[in-house]
Formats: sequence, C-alpha cells, structure tokens
Amino acid sequence: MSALHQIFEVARRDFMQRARSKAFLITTLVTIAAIFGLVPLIAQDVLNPPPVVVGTVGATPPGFEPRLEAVAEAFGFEVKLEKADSLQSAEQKVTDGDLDGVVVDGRELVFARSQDARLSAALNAVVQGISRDAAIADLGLSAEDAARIVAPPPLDERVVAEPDPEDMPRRVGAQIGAILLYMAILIFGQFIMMGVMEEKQSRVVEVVLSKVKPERLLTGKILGIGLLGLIQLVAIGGAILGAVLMLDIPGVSLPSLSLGLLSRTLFWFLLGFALYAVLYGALGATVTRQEDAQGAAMLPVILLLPGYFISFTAIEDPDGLASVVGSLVPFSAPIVMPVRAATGTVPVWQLALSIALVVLTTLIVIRLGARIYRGAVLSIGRKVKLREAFKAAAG
Amino acid sequence: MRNFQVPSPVGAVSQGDGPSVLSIEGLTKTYGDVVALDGASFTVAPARIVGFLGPNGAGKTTTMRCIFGLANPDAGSITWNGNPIDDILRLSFGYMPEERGLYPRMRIGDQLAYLGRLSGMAATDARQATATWLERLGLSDRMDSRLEQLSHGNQQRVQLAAALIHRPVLAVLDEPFAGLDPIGVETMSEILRSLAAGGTSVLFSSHQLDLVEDVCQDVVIIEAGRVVMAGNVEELRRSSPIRIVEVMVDERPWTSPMFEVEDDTNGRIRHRVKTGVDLREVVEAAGADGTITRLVFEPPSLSDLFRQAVGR
Repeated sequence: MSALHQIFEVARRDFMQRARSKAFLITTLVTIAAIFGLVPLIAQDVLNPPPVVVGTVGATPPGFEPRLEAVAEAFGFEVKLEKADSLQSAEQKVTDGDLDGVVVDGRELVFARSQDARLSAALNAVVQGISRDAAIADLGLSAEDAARIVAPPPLDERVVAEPDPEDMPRRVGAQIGAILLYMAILIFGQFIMMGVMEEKQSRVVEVVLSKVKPERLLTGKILGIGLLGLIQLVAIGGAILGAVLMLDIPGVSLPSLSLGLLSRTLFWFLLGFALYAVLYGALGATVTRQEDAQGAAMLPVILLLPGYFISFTAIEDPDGLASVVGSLVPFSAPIVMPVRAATGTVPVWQLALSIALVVLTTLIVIRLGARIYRGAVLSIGRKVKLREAFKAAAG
Repeated sequence: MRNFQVPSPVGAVSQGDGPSVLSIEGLTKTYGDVVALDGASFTVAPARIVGFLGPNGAGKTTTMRCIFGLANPDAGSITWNGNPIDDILRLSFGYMPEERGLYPRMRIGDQLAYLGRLSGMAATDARQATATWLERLGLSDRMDSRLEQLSHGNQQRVQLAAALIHRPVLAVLDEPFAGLDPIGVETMSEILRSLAAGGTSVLFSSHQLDLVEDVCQDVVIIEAGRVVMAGNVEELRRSSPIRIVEVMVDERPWTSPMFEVEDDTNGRIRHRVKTGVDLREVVEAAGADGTITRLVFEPPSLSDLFRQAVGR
C-alpha cells in the first residue's frame, strides 16, 4: 500500500507544480485562443475561395459568358470576367497575379507562369462547345441526332460490396491517433525528461530517494506529467473540434465513431505513451546539463520515426511485411498496430504478442531507468555514462 | 492507503554503553579501485548524539548512503534493533545529505508537507508538523515563499526541517555544521540536543573535530574506510593513556625533557605526556625557572585522540 501512496504523492506533486505554473496556464490558454481565432480564418479561405478572374481581349464568341459560368459551376469554382484594354495590359495583369488567365479573341489562352489545368479545361469546353453547336446548326441535324453525337449516355456504375460506414472514420481515427501519439510523445516525453533532470540539478533527488524507491519516483513522475499532458492535449484537441463545429459547415458533423474505435485508439495511445515516457525518464536520469539533454532526447525520436512512417504504409497495406513487423516491434507497435487494426484484420495472436511485448518492454525500461536513476545520484554534476550508472547502481 | 505507521521515537534516554539501535557491521564498499569503506563497524545507542568524524574521503558519506539504500555495500550489514532495514523502516529515518537541495520553485510549506507525506504522515499531521517547524525556525511568515526566494541561511534551515519533519527515530545528518557561523553552530547544536532529548538517535558527520567536540556524546572516528575509535567521548578522553600539558613561564612557552611536543601553534606549545607523569614535579621544575603564568593539564581533545588513533 505504501508504494501506491508514494506514487500518488509524487504524481500529485508533479501534476500540481506544473498545472499551477503561470507558464503552463498561459501557453494553454493562448493556444486555445489562437485556435478559435485562426480556424474560422483558415476555413474562410477554404470554404469561400475567391472567384477566378478571367480577362478578355477583343471579341468573345456569342453566349461565352453564361456558358463559362455554367461550366465553372460544374467544375466547382466561381468565375468573373474582366474586359482588358489591350493584350499588353492584360498580359501585365496576368504576370502581376491580378488575372488568372486571359482569353484573346476567343482563340488563344494566356497564363502567367504555368497553365491552370482546371481553368484551361473549362475555357476549352466553353469555346469548343460554342463552335460545336454552330457546326450542328450548319448541318441542320435534329435535336435528337445532335444529342446522340454530343452527349452519348455515360457508363453504368455499381458497387458489389456493402459499403462500410465506419471504414472512413476508422482510418481517419487511427491516423489521427498515430499523429497525436507522435506529437504527445515528443512534447510530453521531453517534459518528463526535464522533470527528472530538474531533480538532479537541484540535488533534491538524494533526499527524495532516501524515502522513495527510484521505480516509484519514476512511475509517479510519469503519471503526474503524463496526465497533465493528456489533459492539455484533450483541451487543445477539443478546442480544434469545437472551433470547426462552430463554423457549422454543411455536411461536417461529429463522425459517428464507435466506442470500440475510440477505446482502441486510447488504449494504444496510453500504452505507447507509457513506454516512451519511461524511456525519456530513464534518459533524463543520465544527464544533468541542458546541452547533453538534447543529445539524449534524440534516441526516442530515432526509435519512434520508423513506426510513424510505417503507419502511413499500414493504411494502404495493413498485411504487408513492414506493417506486420512494425506492429510487433514494441517501439513502433503503439503507432502501427491501431492503424492495422483499423484498416485490416489482425490475427489475435499478433495482437496479444504485440501488447505483451510493449508492456514487457515498458517494465524493463522502468527497471533500467530506476537503476540509472539510483546510480546517477552518486555522480551529480556531470554526464553519466550509461555503463557507469549501471555499475554504480549494481555495485 | 495510509495504513503504515511511522514508529514513535524511542522514549528512554540511555547511556552510550547501553543497548544499540543502529548496528553497522563490517561495511565494505569499493568504487572501481577506490576503497570507500573497508570493513567499518560501529553502533548507535538510542537517543544519543553520535559524531561521525573523520577527514574528507574517510567514508562518512558512503556509510550514510548505505543506511538509506542509496549505495549498496559490497559486504557487511546494517540493522535496526537487530532487523535488516527495509523500505518501511527506512521511512522512519531522516536524512540530510551533504549535497543540499530541495525543489527551488516549490513553496517551502508545500515542500515540507510533501516530504512528510512521502514519509508516511497523514496529510493533516504533515501540515501541522510543517507549521511547527517553520515556527521553530522563525519562518512562519514565509510558508508560501518559494525556496529560491529565501536567503542561503534560511534555505539551510528548511533543509534541516525537511530531514526532521516526520519526527524520525534516527536522524542522519551529513556535515550539518558545514558553512555555519558561530551562532549557527550553536543553534544547530541546540537542535541536535533537543532531538536526542525527544528520543531521536542522531548520527551526524563532521570533518571539523574541534568544532563539534562539545556536541557529541559518543563518537565514531573513521579513517580510510575503517573505524579507528568509537565510544563515549568523555570516557575515551578519560581513559586515554596520555594527557595534554601546556605550561607558560613568564608568558613564554616552557618545555621539559619529560614532554613530547604534540602541537605548536600561535606561540603556544601543547605537549603530550603519559598519564603517569606527576603534576607536582612539572610544577616544581617550571616554578624554579620563573613565574608560572599558564598551566594546562587535561585529557586529550578529540583531535588529539584522532591523531593518536591514526598515528599522526
């Protein structure tokens, strides 16, 4: 019982000390305020793109403007026509970016640096349509004959498998989980590392370790700082979600995520976070100075990156060799396995093996970290070589 | 959750040759080629103030770290009332390490209460003990100050309170007198005496033997990892086969062939003689040379004993 009590006390201290600090409160509030300010601004441009401005030089074919508007709408953009005084001034405006393109005498298209494929297709369709209609009229074809030539019936389309309404949310959920885990590990892992270093730097660690076993101290720190990190993550994630929902975009609502998906994402998130938090804590025990910390902080990143990249492969190819291996190796499993589970079918033995390996690795790293911690106390003020720390702790 | 208890300090105040609570047997520890402890053995009696003395690097800090499980001895044992020291028992000990340090940005009230709870105190007890200690140290109005806002001297006081907040049965203090001015030394001595009076056994280290001579009831003198002398201070001094003699005749140092020079500083010469020397003979011989203006004849000091023990 005293172990739990001590872990709880350590976790509470680390949580409260950081939660009460002005720096933490201000960063969190500023981030949330920035989200509510920036999301509508960004959404404004995405949701209501400015119209495409097309300059005209000389005469345009009859019916050009209404046809262009109709075609543009079909292509999904808005168009505005602007008559230019001369070819020269129109070309200048295109160069300056005031015009997206210029139609010269209904025969030539001018773009600035590169062709705008979408605008080109639309303008071609309009101009070709006008001359095609003129040709049909010249030939004196009936409306039916004309339609058979101009608009043959499109191909039939059908799907053979039942669409899975959860497929998309699952993929998106798993991918978001992977990205969140990656970010949370990098940010809060470093917090944990700094927390461990702080105790060594201020030398309070010898007082604390005379009362608390290093395993408990490390576990408590990870729980306290990790919980604070999770709360901050949820607050920021919630702010993003809230800001998007407030925009009231038609067709965008809370995806009907199943409880299973949510809990699976959360489960792997916590598992992965625990493993890396412990690793950061152990590394923090080996260093005291800020300069050394940067080097030590690289190791988790190197271990984490392969999993991060494999997780993108796993979306398309959940049963490929890279995905399977990545979902079993403990350092990449927390990112790869939830993606695989979301997009394919994972054999139960692989799932069980993966979880067991992650838990086992976490426990091993806690023990190693505790040993390093204990050993590092005896060599305060300088960087401890891992081997020295082990020897000091073991000997 | 809080069902483990800090044992109350032993009430009885006993003599140095009484039963021991802390017993250290054949403690050995090497760091690479460096021998820190070489079979050190000693005991601490209940409610006694024990000076753990020796030069820098003699093994004092390593011994203390072994008591708290911060270093694992290669050989030897440490027991409390005959039992090996486990995690729960260790919580009833208090430790002030040589490397001082607490959380710089934590309020001192929170800090002391936290360390009290870590030692197993209930939250209310820890709060009360914090208030009591801050009051005693004259820091009641600084309860909400962060440690880094306090003066160096006050930080030292908080450090001591951190070691004693949970009313330990054994207080282990590494160099508590280091860096203190004479008033600080006196205050620290009083605190140690009141701890022992309250039933706590006190083991403190020092390399300044003269400074702490008056505080120690018992001493353990360690040199190069071995205990070279241990016991009740007064008894050790009394039973020593030598006496220290210092004679001035007409304000000038006076010596005799029966004397052996022990120490020669500031124009005063302290001599070492065997206990068999007849003081009357000394007085007669000195008196024949002039007026005796100073005559000291006393048992050896701790420093003398130490020098004698290590053969310097």
